[in-house]
Amino acid sequence: MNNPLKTYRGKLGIHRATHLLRRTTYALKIDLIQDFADKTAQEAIAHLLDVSDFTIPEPIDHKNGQPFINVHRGKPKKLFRAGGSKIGKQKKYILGWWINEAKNDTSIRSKLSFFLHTCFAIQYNTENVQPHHLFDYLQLLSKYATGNYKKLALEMVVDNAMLEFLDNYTNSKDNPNENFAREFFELFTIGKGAHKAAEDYTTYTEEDVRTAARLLTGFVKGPKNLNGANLVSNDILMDKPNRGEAAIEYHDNTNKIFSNAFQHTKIKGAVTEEEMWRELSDFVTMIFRQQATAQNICRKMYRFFVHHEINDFVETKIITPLANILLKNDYELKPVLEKLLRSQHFLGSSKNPETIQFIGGICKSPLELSLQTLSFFEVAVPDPEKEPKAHYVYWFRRGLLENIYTASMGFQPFQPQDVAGYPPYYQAPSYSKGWINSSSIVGRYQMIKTLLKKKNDPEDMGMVQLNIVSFIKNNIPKPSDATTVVKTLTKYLLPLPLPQDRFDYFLHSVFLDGYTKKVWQSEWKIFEKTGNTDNITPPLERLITGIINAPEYQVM
Amino acid sequence: MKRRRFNYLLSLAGLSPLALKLNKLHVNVFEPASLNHCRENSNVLVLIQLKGGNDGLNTLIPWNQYDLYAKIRPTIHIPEKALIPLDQTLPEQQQLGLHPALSAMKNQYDNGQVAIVQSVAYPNVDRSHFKSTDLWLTGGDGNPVGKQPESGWIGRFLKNAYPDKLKSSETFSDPLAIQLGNPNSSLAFQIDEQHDCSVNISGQDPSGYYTAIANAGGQPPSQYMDTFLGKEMQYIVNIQQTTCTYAKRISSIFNKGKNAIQYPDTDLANQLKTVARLLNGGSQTKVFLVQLSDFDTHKDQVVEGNVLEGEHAILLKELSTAVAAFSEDLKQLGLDRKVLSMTFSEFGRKATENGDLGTDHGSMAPLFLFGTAIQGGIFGHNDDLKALDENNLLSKMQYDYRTIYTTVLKHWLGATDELINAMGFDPFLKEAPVVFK
Repeated sequence: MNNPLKTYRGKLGIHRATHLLRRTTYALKIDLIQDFADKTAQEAIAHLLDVSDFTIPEPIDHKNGQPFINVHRGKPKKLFRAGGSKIGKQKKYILGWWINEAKNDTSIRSKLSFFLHTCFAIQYNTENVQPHHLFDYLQLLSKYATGNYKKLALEMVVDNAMLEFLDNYTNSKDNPNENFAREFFELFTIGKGAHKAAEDYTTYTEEDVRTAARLLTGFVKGPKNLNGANLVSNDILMDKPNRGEAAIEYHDNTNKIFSNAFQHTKIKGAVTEEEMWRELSDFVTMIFRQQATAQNICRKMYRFFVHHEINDFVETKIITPLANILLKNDYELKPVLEKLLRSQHFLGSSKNPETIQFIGGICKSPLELSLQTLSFFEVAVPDPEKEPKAHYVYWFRRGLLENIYTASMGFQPFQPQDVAGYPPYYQAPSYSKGWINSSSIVGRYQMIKTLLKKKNDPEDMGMVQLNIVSFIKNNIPKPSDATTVVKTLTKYLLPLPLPQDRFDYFLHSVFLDGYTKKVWQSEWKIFEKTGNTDNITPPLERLITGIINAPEYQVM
Repeated sequence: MKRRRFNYLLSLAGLSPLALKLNKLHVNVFEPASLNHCRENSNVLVLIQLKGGNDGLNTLIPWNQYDLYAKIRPTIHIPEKALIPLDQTLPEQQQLGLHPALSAMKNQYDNGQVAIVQSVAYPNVDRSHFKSTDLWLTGGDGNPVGKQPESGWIGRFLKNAYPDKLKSSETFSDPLAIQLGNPNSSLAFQIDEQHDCSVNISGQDPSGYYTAIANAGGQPPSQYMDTFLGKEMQYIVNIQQTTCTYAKRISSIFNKGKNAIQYPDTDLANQLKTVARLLNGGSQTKVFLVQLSDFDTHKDQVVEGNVLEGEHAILLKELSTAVAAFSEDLKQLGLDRKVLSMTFSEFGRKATENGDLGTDHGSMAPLFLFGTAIQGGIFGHNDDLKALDENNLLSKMQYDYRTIYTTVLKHWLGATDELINAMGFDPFLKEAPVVFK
């Protein structure tokens, strides 16, 4: 049998291009799809992995049009705790900034950042996670988007948001707290194997959790002052001072000996702050030396990008070879991503799009559903720099976040239900199907209605509105031809070419509502002559509502 | 009645008793039940999930060992004079103090409407939230050997007990199970990948639920390919159709129903209030799942210098006041005799505190049952705080949680021993505590 990780040869074509883009970005634009359709897998993936910078480097305070992150830095906690609700809103504006960037990001950066968030989950709403902590956390994910997972794991130990979320800053030699240590094994790195004996999870033991908790004592939030003068300089961590630090007075300086699962590794207890970094680094090295760690990370990646089902074939032919690449490259993600995304396993083995076996095999997350819709239909949102209030307050916070996501889809970005992250990424047997249940399906269906609704007041979602007429006019080659309209839209928006009866349903029942194609043609001609959109709007809105709420569009 | 009819049909079909016996041996949860597995009744079970791992030892304090309790929890122990004496009729060695935030529960206890089962867990407690929650929802344990169930325990029960009611029909139009309080569908109700007999109405306004879903998804495809795409689409269409059918019913009974009393304005109280109103409106749903989160009190379980306040006190107060209001409402609506409520949580917490005004993941904890049909009182004896294991965990489990599931299945929901057997709970039949009158 052929090696399923062999690179797909030839140009991608429309269906492979959309498949690849849906899985690796939140942006889906016609010109990008066409561009990708003409590329080979190698070229397209090179484009995706060439990660772009943020177009706006940080969020803006809608009150004065200025960036606000650094205003908080170095201030005593009391000062910026004062306006609790203000802090909460500012954190939402940071999410607004990130999500707007994600919507426009045609590289893999945003999608991978979110993947890394699902691996190292925090809840942004955690009390005492300050706005700049959230911002730094997002920056960290983005810095390591195609970078080194092992280094990211190490940085997460002293990420302020993480120190707060899993309370590790309170973990001290006199009162060890197992919370972070346990999740470091189970969720962030090696994963839990079979519960093979009391206290023994194969890949680590309860004793290892206790030992790791002792090793992870003494990392506190920081920096103590703005320029980070107290920070020990070292080559282990980022040079930026926006992180926590080592505090030897809280550190358990005894030697740490791990179980058989880690070959009884002994790590010398640090007695200085400088040595604490060395000790931490030894600990991380010990975990990442294990094949099980590489396998676990590759499984997470596979579930996120390809499919939830990992059978023996996938385990031996895909996961293990990828894990070997990951180990060989000391946990650099890029070579693994390249191998996986270019592969015939992921992209299909011949030019027939029907052979792309994974197309449509994942239910879209609320982020994918909403952002890919907004970007595809070129829905204009208020400019974050020129109209910050409309952008951040009316559109993002009150519109997208509070109305579309939280109220109706039961989802908040960067606020998973629990420490393990979002169940659709890990919960068997349903996995991504978990995004869709009898509650959230209502919200998913309402989204397009909300976007199409006419708005006259800027406070009404910043007047964000999907203008279907101008989209059709600008993007469909021959809009007076009803068949062309349906063909073009379904080609880009739905996973595979539609069977004839399904195509006819969208064309005749949904779009034309039983009328003839001639009727549409004459309505379009009238619109071209008079500019009056009254007659052509209802059928077009019916069509895109029909497409977006169809099961074919809910998956990717 | 049904059983007799079944035998009649069998003999019509010319099947021998041997076939029946064989068939009996092969009874398995994924087959449409071929035997009448349930004595149908109108009883309702409300599961209250305490998410995060409730600290049993600060919920229900073994008064007989107060000094030791205070010693192993130097900063977070509840002061002796603040404890609510639960039950003066208990022997001195079994005296218990309730956390003062549970005063509403004390009244219910005095009325014989609370049963407390002590030291509930399973062998080999897994101290991962996720794994342990999955075990409680499926009915598994931490034993390294033996096959663990994968489907939800309620899903398994309903599928076998009510095979004709898994889908809405003219004679039975309610979903068998309804989940509130968590937008993610619970594993408890999942039977297999494609099947979910429950409806999740978290975050929906029940009165307008139907209007919101009706016809929204359009016409489904006429056929599905045997591909991942086809399977996902089929799943979505199923959800849409189920939701649509049940939404109509839920909106209608919600609008018809009412509550008799005011509830506190808390998340849990609002969930229970919805349950009472649906029942009053005529819901025949068998199982409701509601949720109260944030029991993972690694820190700030109590406020420094004021142990009567803090995260845990807030949660216990929310729990007890919501349950008390719910019970009173049910009583006034004349529904109290048909509703049993039961708490569960993935694990208890360590007996010793962790020094951050909190506690780490532990093992066993008490489980609470509420209702007028139960035998109120204490089941089991006080935890022995001297018998901690080397990791400071309570080490003497008194009740496997599945013995309580089994009691509830058998004596409340009417499951036959055969069904309990098919669910994999037969080893617990003998030990099941009798908590019903």
